[in-house]
Amino acid sequence: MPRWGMVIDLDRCTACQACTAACRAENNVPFAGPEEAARGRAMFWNVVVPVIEGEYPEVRATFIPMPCMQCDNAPCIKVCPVGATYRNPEGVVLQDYDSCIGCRLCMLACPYNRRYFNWYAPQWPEPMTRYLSPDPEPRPRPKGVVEKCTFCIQRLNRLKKDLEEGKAPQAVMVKLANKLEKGKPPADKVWSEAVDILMRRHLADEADGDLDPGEVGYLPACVQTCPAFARVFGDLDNPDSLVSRLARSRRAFRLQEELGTQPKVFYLKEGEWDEEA
Amino acid sequence: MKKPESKPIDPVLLAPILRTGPGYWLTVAALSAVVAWGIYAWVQQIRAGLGVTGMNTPVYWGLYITNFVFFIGISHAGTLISAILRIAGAEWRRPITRAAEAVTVFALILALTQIIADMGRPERLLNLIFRGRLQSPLLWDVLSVGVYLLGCITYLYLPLLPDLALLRDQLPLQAPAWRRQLYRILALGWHGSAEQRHRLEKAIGVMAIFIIPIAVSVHTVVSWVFAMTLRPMWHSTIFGPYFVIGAIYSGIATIILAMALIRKVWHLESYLKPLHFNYLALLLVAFNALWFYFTFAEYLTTGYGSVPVEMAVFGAKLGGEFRLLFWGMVISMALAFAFIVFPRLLPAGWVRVAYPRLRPVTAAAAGALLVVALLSVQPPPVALGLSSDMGAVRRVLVPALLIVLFLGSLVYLKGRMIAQAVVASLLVDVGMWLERFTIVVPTETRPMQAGYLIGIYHPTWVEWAITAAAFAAFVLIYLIFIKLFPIISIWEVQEASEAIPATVRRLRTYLPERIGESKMRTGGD
Repeated sequence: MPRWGMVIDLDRCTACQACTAACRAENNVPFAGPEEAARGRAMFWNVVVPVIEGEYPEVRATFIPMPCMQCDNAPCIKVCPVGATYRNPEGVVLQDYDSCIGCRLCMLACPYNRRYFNWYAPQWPEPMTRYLSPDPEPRPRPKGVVEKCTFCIQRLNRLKKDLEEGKAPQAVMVKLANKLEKGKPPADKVWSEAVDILMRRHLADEADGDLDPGEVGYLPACVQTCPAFARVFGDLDNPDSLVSRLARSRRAFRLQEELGTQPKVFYLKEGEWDEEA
Repeated sequence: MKKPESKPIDPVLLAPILRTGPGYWLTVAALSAVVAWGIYAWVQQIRAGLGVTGMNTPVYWGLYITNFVFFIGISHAGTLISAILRIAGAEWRRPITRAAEAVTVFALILALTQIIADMGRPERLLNLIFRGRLQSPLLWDVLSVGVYLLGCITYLYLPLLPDLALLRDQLPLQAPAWRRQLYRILALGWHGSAEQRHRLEKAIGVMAIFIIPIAVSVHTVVSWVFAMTLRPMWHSTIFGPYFVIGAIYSGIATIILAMALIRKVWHLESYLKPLHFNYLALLLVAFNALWFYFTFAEYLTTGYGSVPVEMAVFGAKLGGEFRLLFWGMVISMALAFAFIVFPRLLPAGWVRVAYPRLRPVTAAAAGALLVVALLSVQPPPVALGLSSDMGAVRRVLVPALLIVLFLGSLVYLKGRMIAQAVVASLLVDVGMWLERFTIVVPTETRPMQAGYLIGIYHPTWVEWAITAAAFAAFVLIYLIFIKLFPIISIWEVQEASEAIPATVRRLRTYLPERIGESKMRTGGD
């Protein structure tokens, strides 16, 4: 079974917010509007948080893009009274909108504030309603329930289905055949390797140009869209995967690691600090 | 079957049930209007969503949870006090147990309404039972509060049985037929035989013992909902006992207020005496001291440790936007202590001489203060719409007037047990509501994650309406209860005269045998 995780390179991130916008479009995250946003009702499955350190003129700003941390020891799952939030077999923390009672204890338990509540029924400005994602997974949520980042579970599941039905892109199939042993490898192994192949091809796209746009559509929307290629996604349990290698690098750290929540989102700290030292 | 003779009921105790003046109906109408306003607000909230409240990201919980914790808190005293006093055999409990137990049951019911008001999907309430996960602190609440509510209803009902039978048998002829029917059904065929009495005493005794650990568990798990999160100033090991102490504290205050009201309105002076208020006030002082001890321990540990995320919340309470609420709480509690303890320390002779002379001074100070209050127009709000901005003159004048007023009231309160207890109880209930608010909200406004914005919370009219309705409903249910059932336990008071020889005998066993005997001999003939 893969254990999906993400590495975000803070040296590459330009805080352009493309991830936030792509996430909103992909997952039908509703618009709060300027008035409600001013009242603290804006929703962001992915948010870019500015951390300002020091005082002018000795000041430094760091921007931390934050999807859900997908903790292995998730406080939100522990406190849910009805089991509406749970960890799926691939370690993704998901929300069941049909059983959530809207008590918001999970939001208080989350040390990263990565959960959002539907204070109203979701709304979009008029033309936007025509561009809602038709996927059944990120269907618009009802009012009164909690929602959160899913690592774009619908994309990952589509990849698994396409791999099983042999409908995955040709380039991926060829690479998979070269990499995996003969016979019939387990579906999960194929899935994990396929994501890593897609991830590497996506990053290599900087150099060559033969990437089929459909291929990166299997990766989480924030990863696909990042113009600085700051995000790497994949299976943390596959020691050869790019994400697993980066997560073990000396630059890697996790947010509020001391709380023991074991997040599966890693950050690579900004290199200039090391150079100065 | 032979019916044992039942003693006639004191007409004073029947009066609240049988005679209803226009004042009662006016009060009921006013309270019902407030409740109706709250229900209207709730319907608005159901239709539009919780967006009509002031809650937001990251202040996910607001007034509703504050009210919930407060109501669960005042639900404590009733049953706990009556249970402890019963077990301890404190005879002075007899006229106050019923009033206390009723506070408990109704406060619990109102606490549940606040949970429903806070839920995003109230129609899924039963998910808590059918899909409940024992790992969640909220489910501990469901179990604990559920058991407590059932226990408290039983514990209110059991001692009511003999009274219902008395009413069934002795209701005047002009009383409406439905009342007779009601008491006949609810009395469950009670006829006061020795066996029935024995069984009832036993059942009440068992319930009194069981209810105590359940009551302690209830407020403990309420606190654990907060303490089980990792949030600064919530994630605290003393929250369980801290909440239980606060709960009993605010509960005693609420009983005192309920008793004072009943005594005044229905002329029950012969039953609810200054002695009862004195004992309860002393209990209140004891819990006041405990409350200060826990509060001090909590804030000292946080402040001394100076962990940045904790200090953000600490600062918000002591010096930030919650400072008026926080210090308002501290001052309320300090004054509650002062109004009970200080008058007792004043020399009686001095008060007799000084009081008539001081009265005009105090009255003038009160008048001046009122004028200042009226003159000060609302400057910009801090939290909860309170203002801290005062002119330079007022900065000196107001404290001076307040000190005069304070000293004047100390002199006035000398020897007035009921007035002391009532004033202190009002302050304690206000202080405890503020305590609940300053525990729930400030922590939420200071997220731990670096870079997150500071949360702001302004409750909207919907939340205030539902809050007002909850408090109005509490009084309303209480008034209806008084109209239907004797608020002073008739049989237990009647039984007291039978209990006198038994009490004397029991007292004798406390003493060394020789002294006990000689007392008996001298006091006997």
